[in-house]
Amino acid sequence: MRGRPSMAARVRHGLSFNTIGAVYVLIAIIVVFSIWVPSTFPTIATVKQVLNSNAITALAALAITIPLATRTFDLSFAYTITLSGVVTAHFLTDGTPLALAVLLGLAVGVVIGVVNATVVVAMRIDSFIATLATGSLIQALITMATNDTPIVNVHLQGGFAKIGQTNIGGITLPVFYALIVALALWFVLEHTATGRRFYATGFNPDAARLAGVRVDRLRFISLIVSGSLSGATGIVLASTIGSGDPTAGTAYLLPGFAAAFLGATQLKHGRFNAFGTIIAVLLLGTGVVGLGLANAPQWAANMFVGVVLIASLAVTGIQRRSTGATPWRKQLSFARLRRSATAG
Amino acid sequence: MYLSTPAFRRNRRALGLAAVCAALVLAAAGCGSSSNSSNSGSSGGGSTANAANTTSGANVSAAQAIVAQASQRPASITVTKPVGKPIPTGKKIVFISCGAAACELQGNIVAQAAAMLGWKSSTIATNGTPAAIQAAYETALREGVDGIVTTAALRAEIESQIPQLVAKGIPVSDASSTDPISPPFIYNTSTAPQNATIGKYLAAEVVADSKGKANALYVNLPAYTILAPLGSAFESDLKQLCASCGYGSIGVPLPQLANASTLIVSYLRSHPSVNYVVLSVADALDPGLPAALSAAGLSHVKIVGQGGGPTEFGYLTNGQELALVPYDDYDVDYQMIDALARHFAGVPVQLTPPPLWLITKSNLPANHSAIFPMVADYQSQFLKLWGKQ
Amino acid sequence: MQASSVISHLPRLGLGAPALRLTGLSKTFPGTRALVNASLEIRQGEIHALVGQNGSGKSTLIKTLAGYHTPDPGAVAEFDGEPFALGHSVPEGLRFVHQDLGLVLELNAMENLALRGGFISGAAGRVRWREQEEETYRILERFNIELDIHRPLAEATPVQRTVVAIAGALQGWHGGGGLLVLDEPTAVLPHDEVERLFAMVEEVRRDGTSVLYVSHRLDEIFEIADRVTILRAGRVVTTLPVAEVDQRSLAKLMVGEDVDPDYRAEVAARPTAPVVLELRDVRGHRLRGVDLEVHQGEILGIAGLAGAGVLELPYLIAGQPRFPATGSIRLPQRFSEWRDVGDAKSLGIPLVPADRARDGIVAEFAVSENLTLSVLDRLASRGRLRKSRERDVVDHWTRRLGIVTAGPDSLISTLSGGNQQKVVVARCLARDPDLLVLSEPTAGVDVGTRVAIYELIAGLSRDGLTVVVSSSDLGDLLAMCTRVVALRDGRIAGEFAGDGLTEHELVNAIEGEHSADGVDNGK
Repeated sequence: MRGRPSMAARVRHGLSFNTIGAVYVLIAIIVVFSIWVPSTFPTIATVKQVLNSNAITALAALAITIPLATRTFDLSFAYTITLSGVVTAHFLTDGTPLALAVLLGLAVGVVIGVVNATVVVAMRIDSFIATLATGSLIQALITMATNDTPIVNVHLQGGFAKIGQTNIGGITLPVFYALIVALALWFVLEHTATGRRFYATGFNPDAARLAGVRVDRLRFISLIVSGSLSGATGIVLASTIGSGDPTAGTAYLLPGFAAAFLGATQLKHGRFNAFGTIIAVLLLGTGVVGLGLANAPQWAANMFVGVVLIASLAVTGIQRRSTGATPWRKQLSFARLRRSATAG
Repeated sequence: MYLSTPAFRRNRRALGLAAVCAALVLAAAGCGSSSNSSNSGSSGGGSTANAANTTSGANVSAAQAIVAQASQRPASITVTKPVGKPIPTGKKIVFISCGAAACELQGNIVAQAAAMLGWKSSTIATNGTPAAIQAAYETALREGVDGIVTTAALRAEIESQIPQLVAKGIPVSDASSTDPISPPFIYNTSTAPQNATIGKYLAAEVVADSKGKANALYVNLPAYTILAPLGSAFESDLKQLCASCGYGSIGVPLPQLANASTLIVSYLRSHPSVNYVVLSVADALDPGLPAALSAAGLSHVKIVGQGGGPTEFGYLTNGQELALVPYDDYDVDYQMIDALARHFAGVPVQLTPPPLWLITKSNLPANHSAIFPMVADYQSQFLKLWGKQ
Repeated sequence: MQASSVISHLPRLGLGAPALRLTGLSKTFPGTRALVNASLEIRQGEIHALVGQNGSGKSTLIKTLAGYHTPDPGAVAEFDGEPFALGHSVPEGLRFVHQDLGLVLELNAMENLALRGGFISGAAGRVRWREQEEETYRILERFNIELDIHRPLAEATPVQRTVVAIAGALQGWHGGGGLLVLDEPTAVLPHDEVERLFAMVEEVRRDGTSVLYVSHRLDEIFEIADRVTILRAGRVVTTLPVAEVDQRSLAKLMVGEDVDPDYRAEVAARPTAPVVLELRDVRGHRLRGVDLEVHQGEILGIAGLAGAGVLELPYLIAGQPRFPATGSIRLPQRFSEWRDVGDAKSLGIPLVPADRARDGIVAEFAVSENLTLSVLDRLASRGRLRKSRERDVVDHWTRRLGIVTAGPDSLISTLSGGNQQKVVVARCLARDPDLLVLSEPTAGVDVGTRVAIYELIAGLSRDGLTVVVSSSDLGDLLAMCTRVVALRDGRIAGEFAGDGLTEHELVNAIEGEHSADGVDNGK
């Protein structure tokens, strides 16, 4: 057997387009904007601005990374973000102490996670449809709790506001929360048996089961994780905007998935991973800041996101068919769904 | 070696694609920004956008006078003529709501006003789409209502219902509409031209507060054309009151609304001398804005705006925003009912703007946990005009 | 040039231009030369076999023919005497049935055939279904197959699907001539269904179409082919009439060294050793009451036709049943109570599955990740996976089983079928089990590695491992089992000692009486 590849080979591989193509695109973007607006873009203030304005998106994308690693979709996470913020705001308005109100908001996320897990795993309903459905139920709860009006109250300033609005040296706390979550996810997925089993569950649940992996239990846990993390994100978001807004989370649905999927193409070749997601969030978020500094017309931001996504994926070369890995379309085929539904 | 591998050959295409895309974005944005007027702060495109001059000519005292007058709480409603004739009772009124929370609240106020006149009122909620609005009018027609109250109606949306409404003689009382008044509509308030006053108040506040050293950014929502006069009034009044003050504007398209604070912060960073941000719709544009300014080290920039609710009142209290001209649901709704009353009584409708009040921390009512009417005793004043008191 | 076009007009009676002629075919990939100056000639109306180990260049040759690769300059190709641009265009009469059959399993036979051959449509593109149906029946009738053309092909048996695939490939080609390339057509077929396929291939040849038949299974070559071309390391070793070789010499030509295709491992029967696994009255989808005792250290084979329960039983023992089952199971050496067979999962008996691609390997994982998947807990200390421990485990098993890889971090899909199978076996063995179950252990494994696997299992048995092997490939069972039970119609129909067991005896037992030459009796 040939030995492990040399250090040089590994470094080359690590820096190749296939591994971090998005980083190269990001560097290209930084260069372009630095030339375009040299007085304001290449500054520490810009770095801070990019970090601050994307912390919540990062938290949202990280929240769904673990279910995605098991090929489970959680389309309800944006609503969970909204509901937990609304619930916390509601209790704070009633005079509940801060810690308790925050705990209740977190509990909302956990409960939703359990409900999702039950519907998807125990009732064997396809996760895509199941979480669309639970998302709709959550939306109903949100309307019930808020009557579609943002909850605003003096109790939402002060201590609660500090959760999301405090900044250390110009960097708001949510950035640090996102970093901590990213590190935790990275550790679990890369360095624990459970993380390996998450991936196995996602790539080939039949083979994983035969190898002794408890596939159903892992998928169950993964949805509880996404529910809980979304709940935490919702509280941070509510603190940032100072209200329990019934539409707060909706804006994160698409960016969250976009960043998670783009992140999967980075660093780990098709595996959903924490730092790839962070790179993706930064990549998509730098543009808005830069375009704002450059006073580009406002339609430029959406065009930018679209172009960047395509460019990053093209440069990375997403589906490496040479691996023989099952292409996406086959993975989602009904035969596989049926099999996974009827198999043990 | 790398150059001959299939990996590079494949990536060459991708790199080329990436380069082309970058070039496209650059070119498009370059073309675009030159047409975006008054925004080239750092590239010095020749305009005086937000480049503060030092020539004097600020009429601070005039500004202060306007502010003093605008800061007084309106003592009387804008409708003045008593109805004079008996107002028929037993009328059936319907409020067609846009579906959002603010509209729901208005439905309650409308019902309250209707009850005072012995009318029955119900709300038909819609989700704001043309299909739902048409359906609501159809329902109203079917139920044989005597009058309709609504907000921001568009004639074009209800083309097929208008002839039926006219034929049945059903009056529609409206607010914040961009259409001129013609049957079946009998009333409109908070119109585009009336909004210009708000711009004037905000300009005066900015000039007075800065003592003539303002450099203001006006943040517009181009999707809402009814606000256009507000923006142009602000600009012209600012220049009039303070020729040396700086002015710039950006428009936030609705799909980018969630990024509004990022856009504002970016603009402020590229135009460091801007010290006032004027929000055309405060509650839509300011979520997260004070925190973002603080994090970017821009807390010295002051915020004023049109509209606002309890969140913004809170910002006023703790100094995160400077001044607001809120939208008065209470007076507006009573005015709309008043118009219907005059119509049923057979007297001419009185077209007046809603009362406006420039609010800052110092004159903010103590109870601001919800929106409040500008005229404190609006109810009894209307009742008097209606002959009910 | 003109001479060859004159020749192509001669009647096609095995004379005249060959159906296909390739010369000077080379294909270089970065780092390897997959084909070196290969040549191939297929005569009109012949069934020509192409054999070679994994890595011999077989699949590269087929893919080049199919236009998927472009050959290095210098290749000359002629089809029915007409030159064509090899790798750039595919002549009209050259048809392929690839290993995955190219069918959409969610659609039915009619739709699949229409997808390839075109729908019969009327005004505004509306499909004329009745005529489509008739056309489908017409296409399929020459192959004498019973099939509900309206049910999705996922519900059809493998042989039915293969028939549809071949019929689909031949659509629109009438009047003889042409070449049909069958790439591993029997890979998913149980051995007993292979006869059905041969009948089809003969039918195709009778119509005048030549056949290029690629397969791992050497015994099939002898049954069906006229001539055989052997590839090794990218070069054509030779082309010979099948009558002039036997299995052993063929295997030798393929591997380059002497390989015994009739290999029998040295195993010792231990009828008196204690019983380690017992099954009692197991009933399921096909199984209709099976009692079984497995003694320690023995290699028990389970033989049977497809449909007898040969596939069902191993999955049941491993606790991953495909269908609901009843019955009892116990491991007497661990605890004496019987358990319901539905609880077999808790016994943790490892299984090397039959469908390696689907149930065996995780394609996106590296070799090391696949190998260690079953013993992750052992690699973790204080919650953290120790990469050094992982490397040790992988090194150990790679050396012990002789797995050939480009490194433990290389993707499992870069390994040959045989080496992938070794990884799966290693994964099971890493758990240090007392008992190992294998199902179809040499499916898709080339002849050289096959022997290595037999040796491996025999060696493990000598070291004390108890093995249960279930296979429709009788060669597997004859090569390494100490004892074989035959399943017929869901019940055990015979039991044989491994020593001195012949294929003939075994075939009789699994098929019932009076089948002297292994021909399928009336299914």
